[in-house]
Amino acid sequence: MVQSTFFIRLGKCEGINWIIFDDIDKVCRNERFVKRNLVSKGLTAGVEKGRVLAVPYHYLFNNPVYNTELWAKEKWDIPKNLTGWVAWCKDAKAKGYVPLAWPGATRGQAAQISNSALMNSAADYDALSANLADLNSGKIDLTSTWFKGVADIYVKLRNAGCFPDNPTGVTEAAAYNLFATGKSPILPTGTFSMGSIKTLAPALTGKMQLMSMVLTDGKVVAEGIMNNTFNLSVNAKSNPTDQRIAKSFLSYLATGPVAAIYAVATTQHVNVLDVDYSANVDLLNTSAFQAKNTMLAPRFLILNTSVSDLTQDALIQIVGGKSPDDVLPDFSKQIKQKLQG
Amino acid sequence: MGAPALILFLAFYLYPALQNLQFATRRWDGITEPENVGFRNFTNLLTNDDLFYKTLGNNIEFTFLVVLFQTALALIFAVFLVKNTKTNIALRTLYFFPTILSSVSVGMIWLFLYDPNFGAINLFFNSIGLPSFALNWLGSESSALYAIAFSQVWFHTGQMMVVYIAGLQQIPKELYEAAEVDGASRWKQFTSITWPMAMPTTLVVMAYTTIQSFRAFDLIMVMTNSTAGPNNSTSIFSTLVYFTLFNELRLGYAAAQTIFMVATMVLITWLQRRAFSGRYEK
Repeated sequence: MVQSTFFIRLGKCEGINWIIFDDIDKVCRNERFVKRNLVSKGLTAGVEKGRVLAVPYHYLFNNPVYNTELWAKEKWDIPKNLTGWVAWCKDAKAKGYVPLAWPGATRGQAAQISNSALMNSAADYDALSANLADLNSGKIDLTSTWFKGVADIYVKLRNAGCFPDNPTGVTEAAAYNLFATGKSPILPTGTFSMGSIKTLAPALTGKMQLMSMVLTDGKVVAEGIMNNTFNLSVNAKSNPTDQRIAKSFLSYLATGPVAAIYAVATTQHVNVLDVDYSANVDLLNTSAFQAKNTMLAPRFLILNTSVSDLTQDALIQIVGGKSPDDVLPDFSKQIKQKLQG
Repeated sequence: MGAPALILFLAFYLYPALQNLQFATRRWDGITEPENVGFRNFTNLLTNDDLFYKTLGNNIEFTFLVVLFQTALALIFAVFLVKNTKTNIALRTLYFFPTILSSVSVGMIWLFLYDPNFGAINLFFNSIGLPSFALNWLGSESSALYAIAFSQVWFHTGQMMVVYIAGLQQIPKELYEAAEVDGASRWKQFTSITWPMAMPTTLVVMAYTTIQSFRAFDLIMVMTNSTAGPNNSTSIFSTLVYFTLFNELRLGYAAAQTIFMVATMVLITWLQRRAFSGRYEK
């Protein structure tokens, strides 16, 4: 049965035994649709130790979405570095806006901005991955110099008035409301929020764009965040005929016209080349971000859910007004206890 | 005759309970082979888990507040609405109304009411010139648990009021008539007749409210966006077990937590009965 052969799974592919694809070079050589039709950069989320476990179908951008009309009206330029962001927040707040419609009460959405804070926090992607792996394993904790630097970004943004009042109580619905009503010029979540915003404010159709959020005054490693989900794979234990059918179905999904239907229906970008997004003007406008120097969402490199949640909770507490000197040791202790449990 | 009931009890109560005891001695993610760890889950809970003690404290505080206010309000409403007049029946319906709502709906309603920037509660305080009362209700460690406890009381007081009314209507009217003849005030009638005669109902209400407050999982999950509140300030046993089980995939540890949860619930209920049963027997 094709149904049992073919499966769709959200998120990353760790722990899956159903591998049919092989190392990435062989996949690109043997599975022509992968080489011809898929965005090669978008395959990373399905690769583990050089082996392709699955091919991601969704292509998300966990970058801030901004209201182009408001930005044009206020004649703002997108800040180029952390100093620029601090100055912009002060300016936007002075003009009566809530600079970032940040949903601090909804951990998953509040955490999106941490991708931007992490993205340029280390010398390169490998160094960042190593830091996050060490945090995940308990080799380092939140009081490390590197993470204190990340926390310091939050402190600077907080002190510049970037976040809403009572930030830790702002729900996703309230944040969307701030952005949809024009009270806030930036929704720091991602492309996946655009559909909900258009439901709230149809007038914003075609007036949303993605922005780079470079939160460093030093070296820029990446200018944006991507995430590739809905990883598709084939059950290696199914019979060869079913495997061929399943692969054919994958290659069918990976054709531009089919992927376009999927993209428009789900209001998400897809990891497929030559997709016509013109049926959804916001997907079309933001699709150019695929060509940018983006990084696979680093916050998802913390694989231990407890460590990830506590790390985000610590940053949320800092935005809420607490000092990193109090928060980071406290949450480090909690992480240590979770890892020892 | 009793065999089917016994089989159901063994299959759906005793067996899962015993299996839970077995799970509590294992380290298991539900996928790979379980590892026998003896009492390590218990010792870890007691010696190296601050969240466990925070949860225990939260749960006791939450239960105390809910039981105290829900029982007191339910009794007060019942006393005033015990007579079957048209107005009273209408008011009983009104007070009972939240009980028929789903807990998710109630959680959503209060989530909007408590919103720190747009919510009706803070808008009200700001409009009457009391901005210092406009708090970050659910976003602050210091107020989140109390805010949810208030919602829980609002949600279930009507239900307990109905239980009390049923109990109060069983008190013989002659007792009140005799008291009035003796010149007893309303307050004296309450303290000497209503309160002692309503003690069996009070015990039922308190036991049920205690269990209810341990099961406030859905309200907490909705009102804290599935996070157990800022810095786990609204973590109670049911949310702790859920996160341990489904977020962390630590089935054995979650099983050990449920044992403490049940033990705490039994202990609180026992203490309540012990505190009030003496009066009841008199």
